Amino acid sequence: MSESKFNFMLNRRQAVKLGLGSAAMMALAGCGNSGSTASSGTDAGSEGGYKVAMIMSGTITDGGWDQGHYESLKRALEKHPNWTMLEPKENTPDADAATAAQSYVDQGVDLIIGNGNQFASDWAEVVADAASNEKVHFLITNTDPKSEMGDYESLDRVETVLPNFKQTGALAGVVAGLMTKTNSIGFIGGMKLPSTEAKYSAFLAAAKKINPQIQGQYNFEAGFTDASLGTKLTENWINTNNVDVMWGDASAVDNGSRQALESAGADTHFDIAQPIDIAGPDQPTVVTSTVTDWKIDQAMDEIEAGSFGGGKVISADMSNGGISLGAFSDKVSADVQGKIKEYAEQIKNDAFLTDAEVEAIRSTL
Amino acid sequence: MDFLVNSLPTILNATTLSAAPLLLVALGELFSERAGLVNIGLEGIMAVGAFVAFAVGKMTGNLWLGVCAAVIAGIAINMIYAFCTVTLCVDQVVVGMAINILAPALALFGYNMFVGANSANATGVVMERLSIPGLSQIPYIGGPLFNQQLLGYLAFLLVPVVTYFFKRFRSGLSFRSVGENPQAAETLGINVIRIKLVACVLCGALAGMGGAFLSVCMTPIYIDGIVMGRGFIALATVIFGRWSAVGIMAASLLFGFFDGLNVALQAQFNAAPVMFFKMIPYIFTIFALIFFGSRHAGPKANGQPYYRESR
Amino acid sequence: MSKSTSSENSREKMLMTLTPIVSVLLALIVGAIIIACLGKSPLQGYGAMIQGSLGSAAKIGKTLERSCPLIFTGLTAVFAYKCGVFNLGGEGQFIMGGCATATVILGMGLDGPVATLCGLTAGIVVGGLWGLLPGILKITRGLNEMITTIMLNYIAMYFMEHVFKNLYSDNGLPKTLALPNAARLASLGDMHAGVILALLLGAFLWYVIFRTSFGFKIRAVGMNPIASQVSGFPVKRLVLLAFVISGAIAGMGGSVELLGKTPYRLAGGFGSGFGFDGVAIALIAQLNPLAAMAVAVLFGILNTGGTMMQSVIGVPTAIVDIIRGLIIIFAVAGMAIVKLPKVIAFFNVRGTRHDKAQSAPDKKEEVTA
Repeated sequence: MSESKFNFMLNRRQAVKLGLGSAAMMALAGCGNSGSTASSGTDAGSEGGYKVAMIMSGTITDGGWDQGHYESLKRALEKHPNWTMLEPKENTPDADAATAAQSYVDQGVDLIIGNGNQFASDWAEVVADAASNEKVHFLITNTDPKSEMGDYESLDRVETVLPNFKQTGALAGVVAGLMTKTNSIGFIGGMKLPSTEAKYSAFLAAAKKINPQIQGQYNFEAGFTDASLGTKLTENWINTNNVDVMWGDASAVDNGSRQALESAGADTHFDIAQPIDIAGPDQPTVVTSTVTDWKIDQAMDEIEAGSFGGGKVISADMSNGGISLGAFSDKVSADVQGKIKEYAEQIKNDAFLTDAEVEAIRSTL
Repeated sequence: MDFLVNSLPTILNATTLSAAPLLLVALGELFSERAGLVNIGLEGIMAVGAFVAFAVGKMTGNLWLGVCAAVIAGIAINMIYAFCTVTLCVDQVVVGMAINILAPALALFGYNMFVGANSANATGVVMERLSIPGLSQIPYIGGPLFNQQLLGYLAFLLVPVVTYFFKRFRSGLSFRSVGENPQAAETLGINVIRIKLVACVLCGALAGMGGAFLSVCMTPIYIDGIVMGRGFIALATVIFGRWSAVGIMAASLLFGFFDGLNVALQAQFNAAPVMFFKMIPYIFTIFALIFFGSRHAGPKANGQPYYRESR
Repeated sequence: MSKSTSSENSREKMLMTLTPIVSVLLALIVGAIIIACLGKSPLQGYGAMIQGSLGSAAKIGKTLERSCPLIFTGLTAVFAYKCGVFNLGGEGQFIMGGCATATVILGMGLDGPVATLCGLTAGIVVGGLWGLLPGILKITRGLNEMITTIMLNYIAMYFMEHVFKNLYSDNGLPKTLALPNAARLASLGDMHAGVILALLLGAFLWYVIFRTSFGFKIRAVGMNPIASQVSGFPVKRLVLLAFVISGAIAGMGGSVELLGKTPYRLAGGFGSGFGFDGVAIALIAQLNPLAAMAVAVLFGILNTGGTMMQSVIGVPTAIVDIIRGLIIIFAVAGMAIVKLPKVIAFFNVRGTRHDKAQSAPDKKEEVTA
């Protein structure tokens, strides 16, 4: 009995709420439009500086891809105090990628960054719709405009960033080649992209150059979210192939991979992190990181100078600080560190690996 | 086939690791279904449990506090279900679906609040493995069975407890009678509504704990979509395990085995289209149900609303 | 006597239609409270939401395009549930429809209206087949369709990966080649023709469900399969048909989404979440196809407008998901509360008083006349 009474009362209370609620909604609907126009008014008032916004598929703390982009943006902002950043758009599903970009176009943002090549196809229409808007510029990372932007009517205010995958892979490969004791190394990629294959090919080619006995294991389809898959895959390779050095390109999955390495023994099993510098006491297995900076500062410079656009590719490589090795952990001896630096210099001058050597690996994938 | 022998330790390890959360959640569902409440909102409750365990564990530095918080959060979420199904007699499936939509959103919102742009908060720690001396040295099965995390042991230890509860305890028998025929149970003086509410509390608690397993034992992070259909697979294991705790354990282990097999295949045949390997656990679930899932085995009043007035 | 029951009925109907509207308002209020707690202005946020989704003709077009797949998956759920079939596999059927369209057009190298037509047909057929699978499992082995359809969703998702990564990949990228220009759905102003298709389908389904004998049978089976069996309806066949038709609707949705919306390619995330949204839509709409279309458009507004709100006032997008979740919880609980005997009695007492009060002056008027 008491329960049904409770319902009854709740319903009456809800009825009261209903009245209050609809009144509030009326007010909301009434004020809604005036509120938003007021906000766009203030936006126009704060003119003078530039605005930048980033749209990403995951979260800015994913410990990998998205965090790498976010930190690149932060670095660019430090160099460009006249730029302000709008709240980044996290966890953007593909279905909403275009709307998200449009919402920043509407707010008069100068530079909209899409952090990955999935945005290349999602944004074709938004970019076309914004053709008359001189202010806005689009930067899409990890995209090759020649092969991936055929859908675009015009690339007048679009640029992309492409890191030098050969250099990234070779840097990691040199570290792996020098660190492995079992001559067995592994790589986990989140998605089978041309960039993933290019990185792994250079990785294995460089390691083999150090020591031809080295064998590589790889998985290109691990996704970016299922950390436990990384643990299980790595554990399997440790058990069946004696893998003792891992390099990852799969955000959260790399995290799982490091766990497997740690439980197999952090003194004999090593990880090379990517794309942010995370070596430190919290990460006992990480010996160093291959760091990518997405050269957002360069895009900002070009916008300020009015030279941005035309589907240019901003290349991120070792000569402009786009690619670098992070800090070493104490598991890498001074002797090995010296050797790595020597090789790194060769990689920078493209004197370490030939394209044919990389291609030889790629053709076997 | 050589690789299968070599990867057997990994497969077996993955078997218990994947089975434990399923087992926890499925045992929760067992309580619920024994009391006639089909709860398909497990997926949502797990998401909340996973987030709360991660966040509280990270904040306090004590994973067990995280697990306790997940249990409380799981109960809290399931009270929505209890209120709607038991008190308001809403269709159980409908409420379950509603929870599956609402709860992950709450978890994601909490994550946004807790971590935000502070990447120091994004990674916690996983529970230490506790190896039982001697037993853990047994080849093949020693590691998976006797070198687990405490929460994993707990999941498996719950199986005899639950079995005993339903077979021997008066309240266990009341549960069963409520699931079979609530009207008759009421005439025997059993408080049907109370039993159903207790079932909801237990279900929420165990589902929250199962979610906690994902972010405290399996990985040290929370990520949107971490549950990956495990809530629905747990539902399947209850049917496949014929509504008995031991059966559910067997079903969870079998599912875990196929999950491990999927990874072993992925690790070995890296040039093959691995998406077909990833389908294995889901295909297995369907086949398991085809061969072992019978519609006649479950509690008879399962899924039906109970109107006290219609006594 | 007859008059009072009819007014009772109409009152109940009014309450049932009012409940979802109140639920939406309540959910928006809770959302506003959360936004206010974050120190942001809910007025500005909701203003941005309306601005971003309905602010201009182009934006309305985009919102309708975003609603279009949700209309299809919503109708999928409506049709299945009307027959008592809990099809949670809208997403899988949607994805398989998209896969079929891509396979037919890209695999056979079709172009022009022929491609559009073949693509749509393939999507409908394969969606229906993907719906048939759990139907057969339910009829022959008694398997719970909720579980099998969810498992089939995951299988469809991985199968789609195979299609866009291995079969018709664009230069090794994880997306298919774009469908040829001439095969795409015509665009009507600011939206594609698929939206009209969706609306027509909704109207058609309403007619079928509520105005044909087939629809009557479907509803009868959904309400009481045993009684339907007794009255000689082919229950098993009807249930199977419900699976197939609802699957076909979802498959058509996938097909339309692929043919109508940029980037005209399959890629990761295609159809993701649409199935569950469809279920929510059907439940809020109380299984009425016309209402389902309205709710789907509301969800479209929440999605496109929510994105705008997020970027203008800087709150997590999860707030929009919470609002959506609350709408369905409130709607579901509200409808149950309205149906509770005590509540009905409460409203009836007040209602009859009201009736009397109203009928009294009527009589006076008659007298004076």
